Amino acid sequence: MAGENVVGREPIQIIHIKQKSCSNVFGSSPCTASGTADQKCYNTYPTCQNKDNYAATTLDLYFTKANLNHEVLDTAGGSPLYLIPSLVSASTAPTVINVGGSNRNVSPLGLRAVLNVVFQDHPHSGRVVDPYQAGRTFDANARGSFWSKWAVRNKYHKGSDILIYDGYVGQALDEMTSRQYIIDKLSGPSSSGGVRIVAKDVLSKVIARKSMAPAASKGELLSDIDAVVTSVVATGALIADYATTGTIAIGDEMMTYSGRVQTTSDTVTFTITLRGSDGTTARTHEAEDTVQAVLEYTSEKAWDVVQDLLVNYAGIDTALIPITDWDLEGSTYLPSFTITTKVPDPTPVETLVAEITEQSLFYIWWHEVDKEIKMRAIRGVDVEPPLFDDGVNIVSGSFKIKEVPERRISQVWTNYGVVNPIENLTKIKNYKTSELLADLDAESTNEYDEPSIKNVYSRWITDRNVVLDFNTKTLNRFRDTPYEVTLQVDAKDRANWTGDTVRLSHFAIIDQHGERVITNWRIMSAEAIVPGEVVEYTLDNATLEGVIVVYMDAGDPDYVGDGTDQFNGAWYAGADGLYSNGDAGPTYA
Amino acid sequence: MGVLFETGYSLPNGDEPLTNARIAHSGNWISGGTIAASTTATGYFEDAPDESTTYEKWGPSALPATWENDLGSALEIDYCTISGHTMGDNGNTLQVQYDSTGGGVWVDVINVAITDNQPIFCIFEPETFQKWRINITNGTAPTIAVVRFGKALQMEQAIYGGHTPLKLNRKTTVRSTRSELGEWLGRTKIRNSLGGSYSWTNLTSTFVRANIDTLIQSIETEPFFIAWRPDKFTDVEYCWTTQNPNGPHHTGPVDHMNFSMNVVAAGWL
Repeated sequence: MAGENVVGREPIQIIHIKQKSCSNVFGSSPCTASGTADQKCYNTYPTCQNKDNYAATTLDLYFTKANLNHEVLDTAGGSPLYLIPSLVSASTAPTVINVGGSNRNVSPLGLRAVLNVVFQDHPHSGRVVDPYQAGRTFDANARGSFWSKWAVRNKYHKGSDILIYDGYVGQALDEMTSRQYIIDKLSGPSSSGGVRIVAKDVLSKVIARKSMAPAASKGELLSDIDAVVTSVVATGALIADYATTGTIAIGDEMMTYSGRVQTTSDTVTFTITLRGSDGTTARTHEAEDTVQAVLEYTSEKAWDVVQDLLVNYAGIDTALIPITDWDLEGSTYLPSFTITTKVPDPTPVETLVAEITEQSLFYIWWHEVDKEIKMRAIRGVDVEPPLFDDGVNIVSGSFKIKEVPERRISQVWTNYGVVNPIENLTKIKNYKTSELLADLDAESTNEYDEPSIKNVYSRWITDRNVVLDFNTKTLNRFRDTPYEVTLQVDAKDRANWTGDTVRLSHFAIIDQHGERVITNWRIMSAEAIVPGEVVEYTLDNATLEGVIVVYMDAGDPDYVGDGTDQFNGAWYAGADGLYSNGDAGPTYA
Repeated sequence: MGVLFETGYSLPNGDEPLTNARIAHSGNWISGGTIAASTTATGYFEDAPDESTTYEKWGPSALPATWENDLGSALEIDYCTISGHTMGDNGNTLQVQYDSTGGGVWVDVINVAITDNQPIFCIFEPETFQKWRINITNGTAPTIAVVRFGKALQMEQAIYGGHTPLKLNRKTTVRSTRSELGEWLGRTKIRNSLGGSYSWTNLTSTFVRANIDTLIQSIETEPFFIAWRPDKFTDVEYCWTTQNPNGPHHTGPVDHMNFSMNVVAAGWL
């Protein structure tokens, strides 16, 4: 019996690197390489001598601290792991959610999780990492060190999956809690043998310098064109670079086309249907001007557009996006948030995704534990959250609560209906319409005594009702100064993670009469600050998002009123205005 | 189990008394032999026990199981040391054997049921043979990290008062958490290591010059086994120095020298 609930638990950490590897055997078909035992590769791409037949797979490497003297099995009753005891420390900076882009100091995508792992270098026999170790004539222990050799043999380690397991002595690997990241860089080994791997969460792939949408087009005008021609030839291009029909941008003019054909091996001819489309003006253009494919979405669900950007432009594996869950969440709570837009310039995916999520009232984040990108609408809870209280959950001395006044909003200005997608998108004059919603009471001297304005420029929203919905929900959510709580819990309570909502009961959270109030808080970030022992949460007050209720029908249980009623149930009062238990029902004012 | 003696063991003439420590180190164990195991389970390595690392192990896939070291020529052996094993948990019987004829007639020097996973220091009367092995029977298949055969260093003096046995000197970090309202929430234990020191006084300079320099050079690179007082205590540690020991130093007008070293050992097993 082992686990976080065992008194005297012994935490252990295991680092798991999924090293890029080849599944072939040196010199055996299909591998055509040849050589002596000492000339064989190490089944990695940098050492491969027959790259055409390289067959990508992964080799699982596990590392733990030197003080672990027990075997760890992959599963209960399963096989032992080959554990290299060179881990010195592993620490994380957590994913931080930024709901509604309310923290204006960071991207609406929040902060990326970072894993820092430090190893101590050491001699190594070559077992496991060198498939041909037994046949080599030299003693691997006497040549180089583990990490110096690994860095050379695996120089394309960037992007490899790396997992951190937090468990306890006696647990099998699959019984431990794990979090997943991708390797960003390796430093070392230093002269003292120190090696550091920095890894980030998968959403780091969307940062500006890594992914753009649309992709920059290679095609250039073959020759000068005037402002009226309807046949445009791009050289240095393939038809695969452009959609079957759509829009291209040349200079500051956009034009729609009904077809394109590959006229020579590197020229594409477009049949133009409209010059100067989308609010731009038809102009002359010169040879070698770029013929840029325009990214276009028409009446797409907002979350589907985000998925498209992440998968097709940021290179994120579809397996990491539970699109069925996204669809359920979006179609249930954001049915009206559809997108129609054109993006003519290569733009950082990070910018596009941040705009969509902020303006469509949902947020996404990398869930390190579930190992997938979660998506959630800004909405109330529909199931009763677990209770954290100061009696049995919150670690002594760890609770802190503070106001976050910079996140308060008293006015929302939403500019939508782009006039010209090529012009500056942060100028009000480039939008057809603006909708303003203000809570002037909140700005009065009796309340906050100053405005706090959120100005949104939306290339995505085209429907006025959606804008009104966005403005209303944003103002309702952030009308009052938000609060943020930081607290720690023992590992026994670590099951809740980023994105979850919990109820808090603490002596510092009270009403005007001094009575405790239990309120809903969303976990913005979660960090195992002492692995296997203490988890720290940062939470924001989600009480204003409310509870999503369903009316109870005739076949459901009657209202009892003793706390056992269905959490999200709503009951009708009778004609006498009373519930079935005699309590007064709500009145309509 | 710790120290295991050959049944009927008699201290050979000229040996230091068993009050004095026995040390197995890389300068007196045999390396470079030919290794052969009866079977090796998946995830383990046949030749791993011939190296000093404890994370690479040999584990048989079936019992009885043998792990044999052909030394290449007949050599005088008076110890077999084993570390990083699970024979206690697996309920095994350990036999240490030599091939008395070179034709597979194996003779026991040790035959003991193992009851715990502590390092083992088998002490027997010197035998000169080429092939040595351990034979494991009963119970379920164990894993073993290190097996060494050799002729032990016998210290010239015993270790006297003030010594803290390593196995009793656990370096463990413990922490508890409690709630805001004072409830006790849990306790965490961080296993670390065993630590301590070994000190000898009044060693003759002849002994020191003949043995300690070799010892120091050996433990610079590899861990070592020590049974610090085999006549009375079964304590055996597989340990390594945290830094090079200070060189032995003369203690006064008499031709005697003192020597000590700080060590750590693998955490409790």
